[in-house]
Amino acid sequence: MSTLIALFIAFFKVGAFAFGGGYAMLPLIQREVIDAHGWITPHQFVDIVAISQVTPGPIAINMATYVGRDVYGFTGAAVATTAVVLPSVLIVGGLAYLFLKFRNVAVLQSLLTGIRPAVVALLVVAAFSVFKSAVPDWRAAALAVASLAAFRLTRLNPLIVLGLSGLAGIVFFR
Amino acid sequence: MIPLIQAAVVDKNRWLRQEDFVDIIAVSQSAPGPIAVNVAVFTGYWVRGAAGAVVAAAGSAIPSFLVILGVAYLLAGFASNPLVMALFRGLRPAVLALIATAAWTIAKSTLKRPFHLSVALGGLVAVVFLRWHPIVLLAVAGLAGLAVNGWDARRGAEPGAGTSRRPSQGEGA
Repeated sequence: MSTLIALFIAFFKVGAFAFGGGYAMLPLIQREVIDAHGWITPHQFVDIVAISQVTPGPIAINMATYVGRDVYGFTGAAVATTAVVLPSVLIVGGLAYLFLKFRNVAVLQSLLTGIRPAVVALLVVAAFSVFKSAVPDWRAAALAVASLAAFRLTRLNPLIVLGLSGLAGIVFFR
Repeated sequence: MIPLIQAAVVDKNRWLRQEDFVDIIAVSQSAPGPIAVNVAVFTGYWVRGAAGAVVAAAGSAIPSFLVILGVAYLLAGFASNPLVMALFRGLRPAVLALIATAAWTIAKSTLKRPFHLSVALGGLVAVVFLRWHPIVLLAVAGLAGLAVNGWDARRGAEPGAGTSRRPSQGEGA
């Protein structure tokens, strides 16, 4: 039971404080599920990001479902997923109410003037800790550089780049 | 994901007009949480009030919940398979590249003034060396944003200068 409560609190925090959506939510998720609770390993974390890329849906929900199931089965998955969505219902529901009344998002925009650059800092930190678990040797480093080049310099679909990198993994690491 | 949502709520069901949708995206990107869920909650509230918000939130979360449950059960059976392990060892460096690309894209669209740059660098120092919790950093940075925009507005000729009603689009996934 206490595990379920911990799952709920951790993912409620993610839902309530992870600004920016998508990958910008990763630093907070990582902080909660790896650093604070040790529910999954850094390897599993990166693997779930890969799975999220090839499955539909928001990455935060994918993380909540996967980690919840890993920790406490189906109940854990349901609790964690509900917890990560609940703040959106409360916060955006409240904002929708205010917005329909006042039609003004200036205060929100002011808050974001500061929050967006802070999210950049958090993402850099997250990229560094992913680096440690994703690149153990020079072959992985070569794959990382090649993928980065593909993302930055070509218009290849990210899914194709991921697929090629996975295939290379089967060739290199089996 | 945004184009898919637009097709569903503007083009197909006509719950919202295009200009309303732009405002909803602005608020949804400004709020914490998954943007797709936020858009669903806002649209649901707009169309049917609180009940609409709850139903839309559930609808936006349940498909990925089921898909990931399925994937997790499958993977649990194959986790020690050498082929699957090798596949994931190959995927991880590409994921790192994805995250680095996201950081770069968001940095480019965000860090436009000295204030932005100093928050980003200060935040880096605060989290790495001073061990600030990310939530503390976000709160402090948000307050700093309020303060700077308030100051700009007071200096500027017209009230509200330095804040735009429509935010820039394009970040987030």
